[in-house]
Amino acid sequence: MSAGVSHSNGKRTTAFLTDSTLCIGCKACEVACKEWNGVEADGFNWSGFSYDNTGAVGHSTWRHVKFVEHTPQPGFGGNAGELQSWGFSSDVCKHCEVAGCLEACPTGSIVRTEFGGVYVQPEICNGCSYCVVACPFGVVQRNPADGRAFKCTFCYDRQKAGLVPACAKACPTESIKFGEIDELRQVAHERIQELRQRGMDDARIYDPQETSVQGLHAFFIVRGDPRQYNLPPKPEVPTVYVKQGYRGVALGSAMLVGAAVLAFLASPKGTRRRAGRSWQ
Amino acid sequence: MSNEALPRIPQRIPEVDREAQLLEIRRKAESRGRVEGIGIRPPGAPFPQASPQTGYYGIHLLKEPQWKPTIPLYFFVGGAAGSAAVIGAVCDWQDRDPEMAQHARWLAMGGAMASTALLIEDLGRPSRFLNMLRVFHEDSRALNLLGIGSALWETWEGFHLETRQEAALKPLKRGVSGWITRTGGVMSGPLPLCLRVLGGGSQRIRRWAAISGILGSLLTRYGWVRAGRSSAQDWRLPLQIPEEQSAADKEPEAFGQELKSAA
Repeated sequence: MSAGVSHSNGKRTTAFLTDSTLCIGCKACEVACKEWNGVEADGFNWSGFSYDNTGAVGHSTWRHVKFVEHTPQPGFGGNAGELQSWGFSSDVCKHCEVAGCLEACPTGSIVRTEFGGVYVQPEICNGCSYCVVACPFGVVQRNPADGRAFKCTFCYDRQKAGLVPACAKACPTESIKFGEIDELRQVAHERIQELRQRGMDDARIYDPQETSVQGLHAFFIVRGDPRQYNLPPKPEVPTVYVKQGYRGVALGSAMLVGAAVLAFLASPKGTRRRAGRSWQ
Repeated sequence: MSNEALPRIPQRIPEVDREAQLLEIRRKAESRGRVEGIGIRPPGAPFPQASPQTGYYGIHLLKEPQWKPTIPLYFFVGGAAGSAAVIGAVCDWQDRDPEMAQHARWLAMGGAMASTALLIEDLGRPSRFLNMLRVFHEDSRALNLLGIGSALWETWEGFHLETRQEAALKPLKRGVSGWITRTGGVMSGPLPLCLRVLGGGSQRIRRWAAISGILGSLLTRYGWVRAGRSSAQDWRLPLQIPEEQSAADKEPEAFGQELKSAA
């Protein structure tokens, strides 16, 4: 994988490793993110889904802690045997190696930073929302009040100043790790080995490198099926559908032209030329 | 104590459904003397569990397209304009019905202008529409092909129009309409291309090139494929959840049934 060098331009390529086996669901990352980036409140909505009233990342939520409840399962979630077991995982923009939003953006507002992150420049975005439908993870969203699209900036401003992103800094259990991407991948593999030795055979790294997304700059360690965390097993960049799209357009145009030509050829002789209306 | 010391409570607009639920609870309490818990369950209960079959509580993974109704209208008007242009071209080629060619041209011109307005109206920041007219795209060969390709095509078309002597092209070249056509052709194709190539990235020159591009007809062409290029038509697809298993869609219905049987 060329992930470590492809965007670096001499700077180090950075990444998040979010280890859900260490997450305690305190939401400090959500608060820290809003605090540093000045993101507005989400409103007071009761979802009823465990202790999560936010639901998903969006224009006003750049870090989001998922509360995954299961039927009682000893050794999972740290609860008593008869209680619902709990898993937490802090979700964030994945900063894909091949990013759908970046490819879709017609204005050039979305760029790849020198740290390898994907950044929406708010002073250029004109709110066309093409990126919204191009994101295979449902991260970026248009703020209806503001008109522009927003998502996690990978704390570009903090990284420029040599600081750790706000969420990673605030995380009390180091569930959110931040660092150089190749080193973090190594850390993730070692952590998986450790978890397996402790009997957690269902622990795995979520970092789909074999799909058209070609790997993430924010990867995760989760237990069990990643789908229960809304992590798609096979995320695809919409560019893979583009050939199909052009084929459809070509077919449509051919039909249009064909129908128009047919209409002219089929018209009865008498109606073809109206008397005295030539520009000649 | 002044009012400022009171805690601030978020203002909530009453919802019809919830108000109806309160009345339902009252009616039950009056008639039976007791109320079961069902009346105060929130919409959507009982909740799906997070599972590989439902995803994360059945919450949609993908974000919905945030396009307004002006976008389908833009497609229709733009498509009608394009079709009219084709019909006009065939009319010219056959040189049999100049009146029809003229009608088709008017339709094409009006439709192209109306669809531009519709497209701009949909933007979250319409005043920044100019940002859309980027010709060079670092990562997209397709967009480069469309941007540069259409600019070159406009250039060629302009020269082609001037050098050919057919009668059918005369209305395009004669009088005021001729000059409008010429100006539009130059402004949409060669002018912005030259400005961008020679301007060397200056912000002001780029802006002029973009303004020039608007007045031409560059923009009716490239929205189509891009719109079909969404991540997936269905939020379930990336999670590979079969349609009949998505509990999120079923639960509200089941809840409705429950309410009915309880009443």
